[in-house]
Amino acid sequence: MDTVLEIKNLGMSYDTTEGSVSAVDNVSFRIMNGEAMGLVGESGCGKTSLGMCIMKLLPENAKITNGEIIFDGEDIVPKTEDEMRMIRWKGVSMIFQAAMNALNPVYKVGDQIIEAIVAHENIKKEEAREKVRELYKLVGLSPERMENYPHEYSGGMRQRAIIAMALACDPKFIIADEPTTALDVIVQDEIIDEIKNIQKKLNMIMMYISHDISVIAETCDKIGVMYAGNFIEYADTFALFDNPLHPYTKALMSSFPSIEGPKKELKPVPGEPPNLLNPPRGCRFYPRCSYAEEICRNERPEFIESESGHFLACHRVI
Amino acid sequence: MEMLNIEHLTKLFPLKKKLFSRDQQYVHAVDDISFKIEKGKILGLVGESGCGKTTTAKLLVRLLKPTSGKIYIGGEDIAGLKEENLKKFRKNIQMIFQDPYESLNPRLTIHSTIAEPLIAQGLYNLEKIHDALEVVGLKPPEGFLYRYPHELSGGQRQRVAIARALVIDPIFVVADEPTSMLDVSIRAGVLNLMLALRKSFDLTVLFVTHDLAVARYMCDDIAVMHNGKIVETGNAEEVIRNPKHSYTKALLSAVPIPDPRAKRERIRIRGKVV
Amino acid sequence: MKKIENKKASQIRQIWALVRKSTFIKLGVSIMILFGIMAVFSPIWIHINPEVYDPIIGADPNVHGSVGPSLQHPLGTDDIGKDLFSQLLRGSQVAFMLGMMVSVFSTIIGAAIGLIAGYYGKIWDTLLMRLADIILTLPRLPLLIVISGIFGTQSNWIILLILSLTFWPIISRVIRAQTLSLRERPFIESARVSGVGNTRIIVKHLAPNVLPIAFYYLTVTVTGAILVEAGLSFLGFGDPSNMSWGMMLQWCFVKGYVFKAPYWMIPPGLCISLLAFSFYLIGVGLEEMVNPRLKKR
Ligand SMILES: Nc1ncnc2c1ncn2[C@@H]1O[C@H](COP(=O)(O)OP(=O)(O)OP(=O)(O)O)[C@@H](O)[C@H]1O
Ligand SMILES: Nc1ncnc2c1ncn2[C@@H]1O[C@H](COP(=O)(O)OP(=O)(O)O)[C@@H](O)[C@H]1O
Ligand code: SF4
Ligand SMILES: [Mg+2]
Ligand SMILES: [Mg+2]
Repeated sequence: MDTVLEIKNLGMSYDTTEGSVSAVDNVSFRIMNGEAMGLVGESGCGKTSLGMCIMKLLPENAKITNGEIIFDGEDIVPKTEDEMRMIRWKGVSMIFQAAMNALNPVYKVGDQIIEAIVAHENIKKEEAREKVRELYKLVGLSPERMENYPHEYSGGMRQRAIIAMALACDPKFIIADEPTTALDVIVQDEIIDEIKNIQKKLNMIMMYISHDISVIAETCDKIGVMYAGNFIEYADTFALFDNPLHPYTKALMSSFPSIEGPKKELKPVPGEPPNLLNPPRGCRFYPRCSYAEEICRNERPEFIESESGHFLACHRVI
Repeated sequence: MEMLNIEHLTKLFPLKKKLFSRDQQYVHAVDDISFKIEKGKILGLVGESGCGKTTTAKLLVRLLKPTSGKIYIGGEDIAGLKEENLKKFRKNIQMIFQDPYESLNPRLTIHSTIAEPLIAQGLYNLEKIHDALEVVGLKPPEGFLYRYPHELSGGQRQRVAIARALVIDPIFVVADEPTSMLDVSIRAGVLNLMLALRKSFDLTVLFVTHDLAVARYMCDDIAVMHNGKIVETGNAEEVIRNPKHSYTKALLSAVPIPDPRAKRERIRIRGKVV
Repeated sequence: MKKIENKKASQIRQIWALVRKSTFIKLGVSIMILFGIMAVFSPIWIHINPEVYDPIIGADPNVHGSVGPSLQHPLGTDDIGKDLFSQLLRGSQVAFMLGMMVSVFSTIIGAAIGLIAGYYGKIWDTLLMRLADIILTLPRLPLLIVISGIFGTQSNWIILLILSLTFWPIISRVIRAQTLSLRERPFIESARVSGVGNTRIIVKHLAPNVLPIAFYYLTVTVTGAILVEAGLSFLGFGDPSNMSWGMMLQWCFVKGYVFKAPYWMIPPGLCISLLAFSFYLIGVGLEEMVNPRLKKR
């Protein structure tokens, strides 16, 4: 299998009035052809920031400090905005967190997608309209609905339309940032089902961001766990569930309930995530880790392959 | 002995009239529901969004006035009580809201927020506020008393909201999706806290949620709501293992399972193309 | 309870620290202080030689016709030998008093009415907002003439009354809109569940949340009041027993000195703009720091 996306040692920070926030730090992983990779971690750990790095859609105050993002054999970090625009449209696409609430209320949903296509591609409006009809069918919306305004859509329908928009350019790689967090169980289920099918059908690679590990378990082949800007564990979904190695991953696994199996007591992760303005010097999980040792306080554990295909950043386990 | 007894509770919201239309249309947000909660038990009210859970919750604490039906709390019907006569009953029944970022007044300190129910009942006492903060795990209380909500994390805010609900020793608490806005890793802490408090205060709780896994973890009994009606009730474990109603089955089949090997069968209640 | 007071004190210190950080507020306050000094200096200046310097009855017998700035008359005199500097000083007193009082009155009335209409809704809302609409459509000038007619005189008090009565509807509309959206917010609902009564909800839970906007509008109203008073005075509807910047302009205009005597025309015009501008600056600065959440995020 070919590697489509490879991230090496990526680091990114935001400049704020209070100092520099290191939101992505020392992240490395690769996604192979046809794979879906899930990204989990608690709020504020840098999931969206990592996605934005790959899209190179960073706000003014953010900069990539080091590392490479190799997409389709090319490092996109040094690319200019013009070059990126082409890559973004043809290669990488993103379903933004809460984008379903960002549809313009005064235009018909179909027209908004047509506009986006016409703006990027040299085709006529009518062709674009035909394309949107196809996309609507693909995401499970009836094409007549193109003539409706956003407020006439339910939350789930709006999210489908957003997915259609993200697929408009047949991307090779799609980043889905919490596409179902705002929806209830039933709609969430329909949407993840849809996304999974489309991903397989179009043979895209996907990065699926969520803080709900059970959603990831169902949709992805690989899982990356992020904590306070670091990648702390990366493995095949089965391997990670069968044998979580990192103390944070373990804690995460026992902190949510399931409707299957015997009822077990939930163990919350004690404490709170660190302030990224001034993260702990050694392991960033150190203050909350029940396995911590002296070395963890001062030395940053490296992110290395502990078993074949199972990457990990922890002093104790290695 | 039942703490709470709901009989034929109904709430209609008038819809905006269409131009030139004579007859008034209504949304049947809560449509003739009846259920009971025994003292010290947690009843989970589950269902998809828009099915009427929040409306039910608001009726029980009388933020809304029922269109018809009875709400017996400790034997007394509060469905028809006027605003002026509600004060006494407010001491007994409290509510925890969904969004901890919205349910605390941004301009009041934690101290003032928790003091409000005490002041309203003429029971203000700094000691009680200290105790309430300690009970919900915000220690030391002095460190939190004079902070503002924006200085707290989501989990801490929800703890403040719980402290406010418990500070006047209510006998019945309505919790409307108290953890759906919280991160998974914080959620477990708040759920465990609520379970512990239920035990030590012998609370009766109506726990509203759309997450069946959470309902199973928290509740003794479950009532499944669909389109304003209750379609199934029963022991939590029983409802989840042996759902009777087709809607309950569909709801259960939509819950993602944190195990990549579990293959669940999806039951769709709606057509595929929407 | 001691701790709470300490906290209040530290809160004030915090606000002060914020105020000091805002360039707009600093600039606005500096200009205001300048006019404050002028207002305070007014009686001192008159005291030097009341016969000449009193802005109403004084006049310099030695000058004939309007003359330009000199040592004795820093801004010159008008056509009958009245000291323009003295008029300007008195003008800042009037502008301050009037501007402040109008804005405080109209903000208090407007906020109270907006809160009541917004919170209680229904009949209260309809009645109060109709009243606001009616007042908004009443033209100020004819109103002033009518009321002056009723009282048989024009005084600053009447101007104050009219301005306050005609400014509150603007504020009450804004506050009402704000209250309407706040009323449905969960923190108000949770206060109701806590058993908090209506009055207390308005005073303790709603008012502090609309206060920043009320404050902002207060500064905007001051600007408006200063300009309207100047306009009224310029049109000859000022208090004849007093002196204001607008009246200075009016006299300059009426006596036909607009182009002949820039030393007469420019200072009051400049003062009106500057004082109005200073409140505007403060308003903008306040807007920046209204919400504790905005400033944190
Ligand atoms: N524009 C910005 N300027 C400064 N700091 C920022 C900015 N955007 C994000 N951050 C900070 O970077 C960190 C990571 O944020 P990010 O949005 O990537 O988190 P996330 O994992 O996507 O969280 P969530 O699950 O809540 O969406 C946080 O500490 C956040 O406060
Ligand atoms: N104030 C209201 N006015 C009109 N309709 C309402 C109002 N509140 C809720 N509804 C309607 O009642 C139904 C149930 O809503 P709600 O109780 O909020 O559902 P849930 O909490 O289960 O998501 C929905 O159709 C909703 O649109
Ligand atoms: S490196 Fe140390 S502190 Fe960090 S997760 Fe491993 S054991 Fe815990
Ligand atoms: Mg995010
Ligand atoms: Mg709800």
